[in-house]
Amino acid sequence: MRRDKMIQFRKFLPYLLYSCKRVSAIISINPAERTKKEQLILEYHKLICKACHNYQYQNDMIENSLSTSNQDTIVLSEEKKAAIITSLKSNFK
Amino acid sequence: MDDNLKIVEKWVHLYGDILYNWAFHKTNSKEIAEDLVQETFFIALKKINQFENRSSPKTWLIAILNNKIIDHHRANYTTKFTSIEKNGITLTNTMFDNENFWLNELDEKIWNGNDKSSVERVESKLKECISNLPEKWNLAISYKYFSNQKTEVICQELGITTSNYWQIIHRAKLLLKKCVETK
Repeated sequence: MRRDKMIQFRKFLPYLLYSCKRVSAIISINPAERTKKEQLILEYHKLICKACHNYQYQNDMIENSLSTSNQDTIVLSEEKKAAIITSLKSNFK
Repeated sequence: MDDNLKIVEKWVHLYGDILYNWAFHKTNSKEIAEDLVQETFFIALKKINQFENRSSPKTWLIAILNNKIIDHHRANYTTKFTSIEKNGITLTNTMFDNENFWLNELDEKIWNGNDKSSVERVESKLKECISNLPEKWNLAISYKYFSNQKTEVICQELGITTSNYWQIIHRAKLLLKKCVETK
């Protein structure tokens, strides 16, 4: 739907036609933690707004990427462990 | 004290990696993570007589480390990062027009590819972009994706309300989107 038509339409249905800024905030919330009202507003808005539809896809990509980077593990080097132990010994003698 | 030292020495080998990983994901800095882990073992040795075996050593050590991480972030909030957070808010606001519609409705090319290399390109840019987030936003993102804790617990640890937390996550994601598209 064209932007100017959406603005006109919003005057009559303010509850259903939130702005993209507000809808993008709903998209950022975990789906499981969205209220039914938020879910309804989002689904309705996406039907008429391609930009928010695109943003949800981008948001999902960001989510997936951040969630998988959680699997990256790093280790404390043996040198650092030895240094911690040496430091403990010298401080608590 | 020698017995206590031997116990903590054993813990360094057993739990050092876990604590380091945890600290790294919450601070995004290997150097700071190393320092925090070292301080954690110092405190553990100092207070080992208060450890009553009601929890596992790992849980007790993580609790000490969490306090150190919170202290670290609190110290940083008040000194350096307020203005950068303001910049982040301004930047995310400029993504919308006066009527709060997206300014740029076109889908940037970077998001379009479904093949492995396109996804990897986005992922590598994201890694760079996360380190550019304002500290408080970076911390909220770290808690959300690296701690596996529930929202209420994260909010308690950060000392913010749930709605404030989601607002921060939202702004951080918008900034990440903008950063990925412009880098």
